[in-house]
Amino acid sequence: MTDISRRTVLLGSGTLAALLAAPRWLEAQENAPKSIRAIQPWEFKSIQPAESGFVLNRASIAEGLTALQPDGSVVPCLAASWTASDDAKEWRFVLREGIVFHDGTPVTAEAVKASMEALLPQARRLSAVHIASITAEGKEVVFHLEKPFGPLPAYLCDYAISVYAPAAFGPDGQVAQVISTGPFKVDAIELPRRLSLVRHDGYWGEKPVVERAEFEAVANGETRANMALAGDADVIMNIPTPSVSRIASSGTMQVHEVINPRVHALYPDCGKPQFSDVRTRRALSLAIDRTAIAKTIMRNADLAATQLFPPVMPDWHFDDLPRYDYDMAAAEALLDDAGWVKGPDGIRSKDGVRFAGTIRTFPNRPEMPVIAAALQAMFKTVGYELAISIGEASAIVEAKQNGTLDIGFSSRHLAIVPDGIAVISSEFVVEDSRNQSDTGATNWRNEEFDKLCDAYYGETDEKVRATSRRRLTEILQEDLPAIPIVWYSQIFAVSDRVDGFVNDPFEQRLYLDRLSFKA
Amino acid sequence: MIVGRLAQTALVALTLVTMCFVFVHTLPGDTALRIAEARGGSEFLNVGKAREIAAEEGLDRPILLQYGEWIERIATGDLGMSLVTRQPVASELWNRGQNTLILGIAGWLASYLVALPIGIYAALRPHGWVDKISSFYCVTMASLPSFLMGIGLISIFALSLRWLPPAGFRSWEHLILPAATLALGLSAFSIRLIRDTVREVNGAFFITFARTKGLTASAALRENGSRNAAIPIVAFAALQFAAVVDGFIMIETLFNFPGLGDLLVSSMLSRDVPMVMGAGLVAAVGYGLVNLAADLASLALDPRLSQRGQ
Amino acid sequence: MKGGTPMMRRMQVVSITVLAVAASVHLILPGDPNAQDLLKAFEGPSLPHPFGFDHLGRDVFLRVAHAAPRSLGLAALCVVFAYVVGIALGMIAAYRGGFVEAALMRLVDLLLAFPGILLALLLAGFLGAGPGPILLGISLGLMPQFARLSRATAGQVLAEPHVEAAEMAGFRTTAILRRHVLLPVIRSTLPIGILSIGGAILSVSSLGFLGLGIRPPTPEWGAMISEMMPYISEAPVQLAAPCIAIFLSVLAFAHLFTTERSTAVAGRPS
Repeated sequence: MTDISRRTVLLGSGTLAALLAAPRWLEAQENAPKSIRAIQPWEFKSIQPAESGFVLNRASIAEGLTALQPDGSVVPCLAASWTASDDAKEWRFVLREGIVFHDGTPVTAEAVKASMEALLPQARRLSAVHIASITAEGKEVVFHLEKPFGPLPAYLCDYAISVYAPAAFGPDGQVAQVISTGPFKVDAIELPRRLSLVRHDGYWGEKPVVERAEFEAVANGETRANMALAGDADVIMNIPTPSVSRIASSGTMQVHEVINPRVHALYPDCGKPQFSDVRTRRALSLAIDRTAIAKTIMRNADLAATQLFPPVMPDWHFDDLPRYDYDMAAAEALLDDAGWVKGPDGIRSKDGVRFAGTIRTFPNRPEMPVIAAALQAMFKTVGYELAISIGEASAIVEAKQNGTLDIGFSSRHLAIVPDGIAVISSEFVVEDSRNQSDTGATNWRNEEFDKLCDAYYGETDEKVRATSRRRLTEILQEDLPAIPIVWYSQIFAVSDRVDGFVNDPFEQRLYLDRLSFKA
Repeated sequence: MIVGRLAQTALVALTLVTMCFVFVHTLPGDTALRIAEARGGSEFLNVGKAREIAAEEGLDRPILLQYGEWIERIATGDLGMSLVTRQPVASELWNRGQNTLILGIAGWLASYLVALPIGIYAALRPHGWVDKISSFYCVTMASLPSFLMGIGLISIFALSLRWLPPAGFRSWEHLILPAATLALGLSAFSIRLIRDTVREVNGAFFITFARTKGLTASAALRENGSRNAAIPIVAFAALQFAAVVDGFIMIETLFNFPGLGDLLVSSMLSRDVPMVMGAGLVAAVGYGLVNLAADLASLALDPRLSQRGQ
Repeated sequence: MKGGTPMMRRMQVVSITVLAVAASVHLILPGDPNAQDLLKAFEGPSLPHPFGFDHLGRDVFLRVAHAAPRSLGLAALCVVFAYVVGIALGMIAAYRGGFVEAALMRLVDLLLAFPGILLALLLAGFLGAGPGPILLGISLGLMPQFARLSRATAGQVLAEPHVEAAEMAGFRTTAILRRHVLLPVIRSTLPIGILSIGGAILSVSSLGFLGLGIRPPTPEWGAMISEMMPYISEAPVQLAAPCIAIFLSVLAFAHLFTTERSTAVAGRPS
């Protein structure tokens, strides 16, 4: 018996030794030449452009026909130029000469057409465009639309329809292998966290300075801050605000900050008795001390929202719009006016309905639960009792669907499509064929708003468009279907070892290809 | 006996996996919507997309049917595909399991490399300074939550001294801090046990007898006592190794370590049913095998046990 | 508890004092632990506010004090729940023997294999974060050791002649268990029970740290630590306060029952 068990023990340790043989990537790591290491918070769960394209574009692997520059302009990318017919229903994009995919095959109009056709069904934002057909004519890719659509070049920046090689697609039409045209190509992917990149030597534009780059997802903000403090990477995205001063004083990495086209806003259910009256929404907005929140929680007083769109989107931001005031007395007066009476516990009620509800938010952006806690105290002083529920973002959508939502608190990227119309029509226009998202306002409807949005898409006269933009933002400001709290600034930590960092407020690309090691 | 124990482990594993399945399915919230969020991010969430996923992955079929299919597949050794990454569950578990095992063994070995000499020395010189310091150490460590130890280690060695990386797992250096966190927590308990056991054995008749033969205290212990002292220590060590499973969830979260605990938590949040079940299965089987190994080791050390009607 | 050196007795007095003060000090403190003033955020310690203010401008001393009865009480409740269920199962298993014993003990093994934190995590997803899942998760993790210990003791006691005689005399099961078995079982398991309150405090704070604890803004030590972690360099006192609170209360429980033969508990769920 003893012998048998001894042998078993030996056998067991043999198996253990085999298990403990170093994982392959650990060895590969040690032999690789020096590479740029970038850290960002979002894990990539697949290689489908509609799902993880933002990572593939951000890592400079994939590119589209057009591209969004850090200054907000839409510029030619794979397309050298484009023209639209007068009715904005036929768009011709002329391809650049001599571009090759990562596998060396040439980028032809046919290949672009095939890639578009394969990816369009999944690209939800593009459903707003109503594309009838795409044709390849020589060096040109031609979009034939059912309805006039002015902002098409802006919509083509969308990562969900970057251009992939014919060999990238599997027999089921899904992307099976990442073969695109960007300055870097994929060396190895380890879902959901690691991506190794190697220079694409056949790149049409300026080739990357470094030969290799590592792209890694680290979801925990605290961990990213620690990595920045330890100098464990070259570029780290989304540094949590509390850590900024610590990183800046530690001297290992430089901190770069830029206001993003993003807003953190409350989405009350305007169908609920508590919020159906616009006065109650205004009262809550008046009760929010945005400057204090921006200063103490976001650590940047400039982030206090004065309207939905931040100044980084000049087409949609109007400095002369009336600002949100912080005025407790005015808030109380509005609520008294609206018939909500304070009870003995300091909480208001009207016709037996208590002025109370739950705010739903999520911890992926660590400041959001903290802001919710701050709001809890602010709302209590004017007589609204707020409970906090912290879960997944999908819980907000679900509560919206089954009618249990009181207030959703979410963060919105306002320029995934560089034209703000995309986000406001999908957030605030109900039952629109263009509505691709279920995260927007709840039970709010404004006919003027709906009509303006609809007309905007077909309008090509920039003057008319500007007037519409102004009116749309005014309606949002007055009627508050969403109550903006703060804008958001992207905070990067960049290592002292590297040169050439480009700070892109639109978070489209990290521009790893421009980085180089200091001599 | 081994066959019986293996069967028992399999039974425990099956029950555990069934519990995981029931739990994940009774959790409130729309599974398909969660998966849509995990796949595509929290912005532009779309109910229509969630319904598509539910239809594609068969999430709207009867629960019992889904369960039956899973059991059927597992019988053929197929753990299925992750609902989120659409990659095989088995390969992901293999990668993560390897990392966790490396971390676990490193932490566990380190704790005994420290605990054995200190514990034995403290036992041989009771109330000496080593004994006093070590018992102070044990009480202190046992009163600190593991996350505080982890935070302390990160602050000192990664952030202040910058000797070691604070997070991730890309080289052997990344292993040191999480393994040390684990080892500190474990040694607080094992030092005491080793000290107490060795003292008890040391006081036993046969050691006293050996010492009357003229052997020194340590030689007597080495020649006659080591086996006897080893039995409870080995049993306890195995028990601790199993208890480490709990610690992994905290430590892997703290150090962003790509292991099983981290996988379990994230797949639970995204309702990745096949992944949760696979990870549960691995945890249960691993636990059973470690216990079995401990029993075999005790048997090897103490042949009397095998004669006692086993 | 009997005997012990004077040193140990002194330690016990200190421990009991520490715990009593911790559990009751909030009663005499004026003020709302959730009251916030964003302008005071990160203000350092001062005489009326010895631990300063946190990131939302809340008084950290008040919060630590108000968290104490909740953290300690919840931990104690976990242990009481686990203890009662554990020894009941252990005694029934020992008394019934055979299939019932085997089935119950396999169940206990199963729970032992199930990581307590994972259980609490699942339950928190199911019931929402709050005291309920914590209670269930932690006590199910603690229960097996009580069940095993009490079964062993009960088995020994039941084999004693006077108990066998009582059985033959036809006394009811509950009467036998209550009269002859319960007391020895409690005597052998109580010290471990009290010791494990310390472990339960660690578990409660770990769950709070992971964000599964008591609903915010109600103060809880673990949650306070995770809230203040990012501000470690700006607000070290505010971060240290809940850490020390946890440390001292676990230490106090550890010293409550220190005996010459220290009882090591394998691992701990944290």
